[in-house]
Amino acid sequence: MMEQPPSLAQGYRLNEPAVITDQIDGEWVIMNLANGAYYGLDAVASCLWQSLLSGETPLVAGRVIAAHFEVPEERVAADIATFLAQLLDEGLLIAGSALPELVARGENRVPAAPYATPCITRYADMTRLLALDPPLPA
Amino acid sequence: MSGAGRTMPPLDPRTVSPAVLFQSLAGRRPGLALASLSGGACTLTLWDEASRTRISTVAHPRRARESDPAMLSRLLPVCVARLLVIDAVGHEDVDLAAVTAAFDAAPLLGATTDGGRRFCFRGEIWTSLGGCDGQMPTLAEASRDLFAKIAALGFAVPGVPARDVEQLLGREDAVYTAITNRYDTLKPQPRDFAGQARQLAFLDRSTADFHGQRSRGWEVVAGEVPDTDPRRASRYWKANAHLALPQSGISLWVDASISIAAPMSLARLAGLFLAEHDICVFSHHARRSIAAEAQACKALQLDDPDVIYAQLARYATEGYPDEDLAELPVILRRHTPAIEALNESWWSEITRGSHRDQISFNYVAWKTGVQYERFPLSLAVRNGLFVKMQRVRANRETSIWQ
Repeated sequence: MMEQPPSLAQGYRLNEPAVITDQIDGEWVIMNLANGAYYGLDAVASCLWQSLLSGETPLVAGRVIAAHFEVPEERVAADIATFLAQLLDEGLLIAGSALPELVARGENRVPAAPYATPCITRYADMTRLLALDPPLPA
Repeated sequence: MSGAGRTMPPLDPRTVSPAVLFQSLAGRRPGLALASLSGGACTLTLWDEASRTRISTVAHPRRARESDPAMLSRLLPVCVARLLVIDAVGHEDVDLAAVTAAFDAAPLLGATTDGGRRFCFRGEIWTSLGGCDGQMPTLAEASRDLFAKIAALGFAVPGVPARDVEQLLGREDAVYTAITNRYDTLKPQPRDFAGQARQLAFLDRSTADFHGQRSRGWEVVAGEVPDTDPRRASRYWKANAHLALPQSGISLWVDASISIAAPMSLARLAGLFLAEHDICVFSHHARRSIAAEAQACKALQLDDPDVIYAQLARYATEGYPDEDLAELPVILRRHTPAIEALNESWWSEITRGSHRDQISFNYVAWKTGVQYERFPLSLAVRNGLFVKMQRVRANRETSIWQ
């Protein structure tokens, strides 16, 4: 993990071209081409991811989420700091403003369900993508 | 992982193939990637005129005497740009504008070379084929090998013109799949592949409930196959294309584990591979006979050996020569009376004999006199058309953080 907590007041952008991401049928998919890792996001994390890619600072994104879910800003800020540290640790985001031409498309769906700590799931078994002739169900 | 607030279980992002992800990102990809080989190292430069971004990085051989093809296949199994130029003479004199213009002007141009020291590939084709073969000793030989693979997909390469064919599709033509008992999850497919055709997923209720509103681009048809055991239910739709899609003239069956990587539309795929015959499948990547398939099914305990070998004995009695084997996760069909007869005969074999559909397909093709086309290469390698993905059962969750 990073020694210093990341700043919530500055902007971040996708670590292109090593990292690619897109929203496919409502799901955010992230792939790090440098190491083959895939990432999935839960509902709140997806909302945050979209906000960060569109140039919002984590601070602003957190305030929007706190207001939407009616949870304390402090709790959301703490969760976002942890989440952001994970994104930076994985090399998915880097500090800097989003380039207008590279701002992610996609619809930012703010989840209707109760607030949950944003969660990113990492899948490192890229090589298993090309399974040869796996047996069909018996 | 915290489940609070989630109404649906997550789908596994690994079921999105890099080719599909790249295609969905097409508008944001850099215009050109230049891999410049010099002194054993590879300088990779990406740039995009629209965003005026330019990124360069230098990669060195991992081991002594790593060949250029080996290094390229390690560094660039996917091309992150729309065009890839591989240059072994120093890139200062590459007229990038001219290269880009040539490919822009000819959508079916797959690759070019200027005398064997500089090679240019359309990025999506490079990605769908997984790049060049790292086992080839030289860049020239690796490129020639790749040219042949690209030509097999109907694109123009040096010395081979493009095959400009397209099958006119109707609105009821379809790409389709089926999943029962949550055995797999729907894969997102390239957005423009189906074109005017439909993209249908026949799911039983349990699988449809899992996917909920997240159909990943598929039009879901939910329901059970009547009077069919679970092992055969998905194969009902697979075999009986004429019953699943009674209004279709052309259909493409893909197992749920298949991701379409073809750098072309269904109309072009059908134009290319249904030109001579009304059905096209892959040759099996490893086996060449039903007898060999039976042996594999027995070894893997995929079905009752007694049922399989009784079936083979019956085929032998009828004089079936058993000298070919199709691999059937992908079936491209024109819906003709002859193909309908093959479908029905095949389903009859699946219901009366082994549920393993590869046990009976070649026999049925022989019996009904239907000849089939073969897709290039096999499903065990990057064939440029389809990728067999890891099968991911629904409801499996892992997280390293929570």
